[in-house]
Amino acid sequence: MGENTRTILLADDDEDDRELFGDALQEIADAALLHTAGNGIELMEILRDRSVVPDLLFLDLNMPRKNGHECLSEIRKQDDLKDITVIIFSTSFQRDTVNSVYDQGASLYIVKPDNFTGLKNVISQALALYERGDLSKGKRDREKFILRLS
Amino acid sequence: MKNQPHQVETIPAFLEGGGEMGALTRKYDWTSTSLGSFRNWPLNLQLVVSTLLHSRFPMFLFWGPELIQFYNDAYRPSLGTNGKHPAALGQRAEECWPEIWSRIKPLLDKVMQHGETVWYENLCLPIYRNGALEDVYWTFSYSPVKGEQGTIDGALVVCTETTASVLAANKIKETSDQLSFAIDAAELATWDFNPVTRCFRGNFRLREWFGLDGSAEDIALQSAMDAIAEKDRAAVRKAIERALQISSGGNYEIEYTITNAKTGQERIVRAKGKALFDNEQQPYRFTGTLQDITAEVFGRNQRQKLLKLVDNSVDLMSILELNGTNSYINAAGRDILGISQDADVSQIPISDFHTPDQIAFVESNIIPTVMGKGRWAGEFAIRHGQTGEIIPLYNNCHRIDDLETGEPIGVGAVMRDMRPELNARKILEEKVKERTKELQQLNEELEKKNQDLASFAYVSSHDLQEPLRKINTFISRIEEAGNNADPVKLKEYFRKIKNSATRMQQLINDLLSFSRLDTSDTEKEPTDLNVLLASVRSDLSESIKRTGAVIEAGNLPTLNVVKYQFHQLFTNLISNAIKFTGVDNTPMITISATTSQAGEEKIAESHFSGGYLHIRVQDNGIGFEEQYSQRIFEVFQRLHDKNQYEGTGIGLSICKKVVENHEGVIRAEGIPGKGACFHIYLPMENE
Repeated sequence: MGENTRTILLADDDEDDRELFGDALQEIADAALLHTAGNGIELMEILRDRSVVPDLLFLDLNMPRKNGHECLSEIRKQDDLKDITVIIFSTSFQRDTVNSVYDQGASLYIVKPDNFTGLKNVISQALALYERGDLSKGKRDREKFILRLS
Repeated sequence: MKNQPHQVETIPAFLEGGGEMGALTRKYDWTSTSLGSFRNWPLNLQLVVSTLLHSRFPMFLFWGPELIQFYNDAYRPSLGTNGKHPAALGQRAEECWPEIWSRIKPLLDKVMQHGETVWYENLCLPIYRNGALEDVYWTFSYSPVKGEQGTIDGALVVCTETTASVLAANKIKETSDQLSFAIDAAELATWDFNPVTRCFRGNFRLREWFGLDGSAEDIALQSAMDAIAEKDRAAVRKAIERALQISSGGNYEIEYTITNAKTGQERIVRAKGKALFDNEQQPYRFTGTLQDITAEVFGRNQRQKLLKLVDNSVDLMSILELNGTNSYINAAGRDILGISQDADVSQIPISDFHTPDQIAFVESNIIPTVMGKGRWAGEFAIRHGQTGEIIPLYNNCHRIDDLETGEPIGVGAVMRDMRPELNARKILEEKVKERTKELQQLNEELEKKNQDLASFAYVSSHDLQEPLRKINTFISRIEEAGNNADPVKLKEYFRKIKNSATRMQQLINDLLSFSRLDTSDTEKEPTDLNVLLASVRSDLSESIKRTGAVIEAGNLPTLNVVKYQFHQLFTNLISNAIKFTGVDNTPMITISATTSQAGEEKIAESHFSGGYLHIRVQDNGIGFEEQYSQRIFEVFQRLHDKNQYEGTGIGLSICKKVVENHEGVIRAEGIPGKGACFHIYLPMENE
């Protein structure tokens, strides 16, 4: 199963969230490789020195020093990074923010769920969409951009 | 020879004497008349002729059916020279008086046929004398002369020529008519006061004005006094009494108001009179006139009002005569032109008030327009006579025409000094510019505030949701684990739940503090920062003790500030300094305050017009990179992971707001690994 070998990079300043994400990912796809960055600066260093080359990047927006918007913008400007599938992973859900990251080239917008089952659910859905190729640049759909558990 | 006997004949006694006419009568050849020689004349004729010739009263006699004429020396001048004398003697009346025969024949008939006596006074009988037909006035009687048998033989005319006295009387009447016409034409009332009886007479007009229509010719002075206005009465009485004193020369002149008691009509009159005095220097007559000057006084008052108006106008008002000189410039105009209030403006050439260019404009443009169209208005300028200042004016001038002929007689100009208006306009423009700038600044501030608010709402919702979401998530994990849960994991989850709840509480508290800065008590009071700092130290004593932090402070000033806000400011800055300290470091915090003048530092140039106070809070902590010097003041903006340095990201936002609430500025400088310095600038008026 190809999906089990995916390299996933999570950028989130909240240590608890990183742990929860790891726990959830382990339960649904324990072969996936998870790397984490605690803030935007760290993320960009990892990407730039290619210590991790992720298939999927889960990007929190609200981070100290360099936030998710800034990171996304830099990623899309660099030739060797611009094709990374970026999934926004944020607590907040505001139309302006959603529109702006869609325009910046994010593939999916996940609103962080407030329970562990939901967390596993959205991560596995995101992985499934990725595997189906629905998150590729040409297939992005503004209508289906947001992934949120009601 | 018929004359022969006469020459030798003796003269009868009745023809003796009688002057020239006596002589002529004696010489006359009476035989050539129907009377025949005087020797044969009847006795009554003799007697009448004798009486006639000797009378010094002018007498004339018609005798017999043919009315043969006799007259004496006294009558002779009435016939003039080059006239009927001496031919009238012995002549038949009808031949003598052809020019008035038609008028005297009936008179003579009355006498001769009916024996009546005819009497006339000042009858005009024009006769031919002195070479012309003259109007001659006679007072005369025609009386019959009777014979012995009662026949009427003649008519004796005893007369006197009254031409001179009639003409004199006519002259007097004419003069009097002229006077009364003049009085009438001048609409004068006349009066004639008798100082002895204290009564007067007045003409019709006077009676009408005073409302005196009583039949009594003599009017008591008192009744006239009653018609005089109360306010004038005493003065009139005094003027009359003075005129009646010889020392005054008898002159009387006064103006007063009278009211017709019946019609209520008021008149202002000017009385003029003259008193006459007898040898005892006592007044015996006091006469004069009254002139109705109501219209004149009204006009005078109107003119005075207009003059006052014009004189006190703040605009320049002038009258330019056609000869090019000013005949009038009002007070405001004299001020504007710089000429004294008593200068004779007609002597100042108008070229003194203008530059040559202005004069040329007046001649080429203003004067032709005013003369042609009657009016010119527009912007204009004059030159101040003393300072030479060119003063902008708005000039509105009109041609003034003669009321009757319509011919132009001058130019009236009203000019407004435009300096106040132009100044006001300039000030207004500056004000508008200033306000626009202020408004722009306010707009920018407002826009920034809006952005702040939007980002505040956004980050609030985000940051407040985060701990809640985590609490829910950990609870869901505990639920999921059920009864077989690993106790170590459970404990760990509860710890995390508690952490999130604590963080939630902190966030809510900090947000409340932050929003309280806008809404709660903002009363400023003089605050000694040294005392305030001591209180902050005491609040933070636990962490100071724990970290061994050293806080050094110079002598700080007393400022007029909102005390609790400044307490929070220093608390946040000092606790930040303690918090962001390197692992092996002891916090060293230095607080100082200096006063500076505007322009000494870049920050001041843009912010303060005057002096300002500069407070520095310097630490030796981990510092930060220059690029974050702005961001750290934004709400919920953090430079570090939560696990590394705890905090809500609101502390510095509170600091910034406190400083801005005091019209100040806060800036941060940082060197990574070496420390940070917070600069607070406050305007001096805060002291």
